[in-house]
Amino acid sequence: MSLTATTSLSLAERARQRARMRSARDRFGRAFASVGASVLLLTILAIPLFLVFEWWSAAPLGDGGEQLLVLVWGTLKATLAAVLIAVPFGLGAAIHVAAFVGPRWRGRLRVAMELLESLPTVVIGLVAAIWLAPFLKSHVLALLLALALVSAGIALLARTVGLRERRRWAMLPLLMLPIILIIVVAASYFAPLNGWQPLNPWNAVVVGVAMGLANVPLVFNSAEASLRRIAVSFGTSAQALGAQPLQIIRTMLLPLAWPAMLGSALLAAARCSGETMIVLMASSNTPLLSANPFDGLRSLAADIALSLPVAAPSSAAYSRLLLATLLLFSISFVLDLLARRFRVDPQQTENRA
Amino acid sequence: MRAERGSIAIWFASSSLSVMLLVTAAVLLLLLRNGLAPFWPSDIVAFDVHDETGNTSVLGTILDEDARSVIVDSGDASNGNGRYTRLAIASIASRSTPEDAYVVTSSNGSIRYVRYGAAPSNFDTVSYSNRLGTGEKLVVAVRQFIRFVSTGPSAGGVLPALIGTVTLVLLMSVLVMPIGIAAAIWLSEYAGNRRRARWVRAALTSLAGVPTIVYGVLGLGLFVHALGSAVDQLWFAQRLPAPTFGSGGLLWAALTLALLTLPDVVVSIENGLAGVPRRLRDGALALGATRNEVLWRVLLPAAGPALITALILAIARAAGAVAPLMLVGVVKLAPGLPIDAEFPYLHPSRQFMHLGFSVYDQALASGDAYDGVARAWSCALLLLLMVGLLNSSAILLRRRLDSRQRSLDVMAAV
Repeated sequence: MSLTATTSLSLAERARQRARMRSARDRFGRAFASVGASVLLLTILAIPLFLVFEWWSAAPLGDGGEQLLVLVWGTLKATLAAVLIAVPFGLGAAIHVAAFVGPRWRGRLRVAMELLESLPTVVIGLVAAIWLAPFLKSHVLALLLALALVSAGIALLARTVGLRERRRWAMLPLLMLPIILIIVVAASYFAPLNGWQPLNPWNAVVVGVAMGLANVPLVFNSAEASLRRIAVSFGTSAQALGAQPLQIIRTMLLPLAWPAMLGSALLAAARCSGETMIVLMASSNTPLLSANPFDGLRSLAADIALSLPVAAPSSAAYSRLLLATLLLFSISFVLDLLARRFRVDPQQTENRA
Repeated sequence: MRAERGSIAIWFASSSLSVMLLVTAAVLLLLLRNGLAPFWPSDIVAFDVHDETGNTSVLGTILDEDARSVIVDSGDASNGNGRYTRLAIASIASRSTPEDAYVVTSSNGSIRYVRYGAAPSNFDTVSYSNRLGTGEKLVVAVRQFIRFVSTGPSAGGVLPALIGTVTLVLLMSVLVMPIGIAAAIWLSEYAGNRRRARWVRAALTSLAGVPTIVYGVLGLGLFVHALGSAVDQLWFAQRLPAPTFGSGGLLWAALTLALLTLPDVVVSIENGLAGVPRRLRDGALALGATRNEVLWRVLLPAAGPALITALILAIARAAGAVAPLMLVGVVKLAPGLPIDAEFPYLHPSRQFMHLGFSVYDQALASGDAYDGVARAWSCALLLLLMVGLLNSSAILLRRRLDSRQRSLDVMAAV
């Protein structure tokens, strides 16, 4: 009798203890979680604060200001060159996939794009510096010729071959694949036009091509997602009303999606402005204030990577590099912010339409 | 038939997709070819050269050939005038691939091309490249590849860089996962829609856009200079002024990479947690579980594959990030490995070598341009294999995760 009484008492006691422990654990879990969140907040605050503080307390800049101008120019030049390549290719591919390609092939194409995206930038830099730069130097005119031939071929085909069905459109890249390949290979073989070569093989064009192509998947992914959302929500009704595939693209997809496309272009610009390895390896890092695309350049990021390891702390060079980092951070931060402003909420699009 | 309005533009759009497919294939093929080529035994060619200095013979492999000249790799210390010889095409009287020529690779990685006489026995490997068939060449290539990944730089391999890369990303995952899980839990479970939650979310998206080199500068200034010298003064004062943690090293590099990958990790874990059906959570709460218990017993186990996917993607991203490392401790040639048999086994203050940095360094700053570029391609291929394996396992896991999610949904619906 007494035995059961004590056990029930201790059971109640144990239950209370257990409840206390459980609530303590609950509080601990909450604290653990908010520590993680605080690290995130601290990091984003630490970067600009630390840079400003360090720069404030570092040695005076001296005559580093002019050098910084050249570096900012180099960054902008490299970014512009890359965006000029990345945006047309990325948006073109995204429009095609969103408008014509079914789910199965879309998955496969995304895998191909992910493959390109997963290449480490140092590998792309290697390809650009060791293979692409000498190739472009000796084949500039040949490649321009190939570009003209391919464009003319596409325009000619588009005039003569009329595609109506969505399924036929979807197969178009497969048709163009061998045609483009043959023209490019033929042009680079038959026309080693040595009439004109750039003096410096590591120039803004090489940087633009390499960094641009490397960032096509970024543009493709962000644009394709929003384009497809629009295509899914309005495409079927437009089709039911008898719109042709091209009409759908022209009158519905592009007008509704242009903010998203602008957003993905800005996103690519933000990413390219901070890219280090490709520019470092492929640009010859010559600080020039020239607008010639066949001149070398030196970007902020490349300058930091090259000079900071050898700069003594609290020297004028160190102070200049901190300012360069601050500038780089601000440039990419502003571009990123702008890019996110244009990212359209799907709900919003639907309401507006 | 008249073309529709705007159709030319769409033709261009569609063709850009084929251009991208071509570019992807071309880059991968180029990497595969140039990365594997150094391992393939090339023919040993004997040149008879007639020029103004008289008749000489040169033995070696052809590195490069154009209309005017041939560049021959005649091995280390075969003659007094360096490893590479440029021969004018006009001066070459004859060339042949003699059966009795062989290449001697000694244990320190030096190569000699020899003809005539019996092969010396005290050297590491002797290979009669010209006599080999394709199968035998393949065997030699595989052996050379194994040698490449299993020896140090003094013997021509990249083992320290491989070990450095793996140790670095493992240390980074140990650092990033707890913080990442905590932040993701806070965002998905505790944050709600308060002002602080909005701030944290803004921080998350902004961090994802910060250039990698900026993380490197932060790591150098905050970790190496500030934290490192403080640690040195507290615990390693007897070694000052020689820095222990006050110069770049494994720990600071891992911390920098942890900050770099944190936003990605948080986002993918949060997505994983959000993917767990609401009913599982509601059911557990209804049975009297505390929030914490629901988290650790129901949500996190259900989101397990998402955690692993997040980790793998973070590792893949970190393995390819080179720029920040250049500021926080990666070196061309490290005296010791960051992990070895000596106590305390892991040496977080040591400088280290890294595959990605080797690609950059060997390609552009190597003393021997031909050898360096060839090694850079091979390093790039190795790095690519590593990143590719990680990424594809993440993709496979994500697929499994999707099907598991479906079965969880069914479970919850029942």
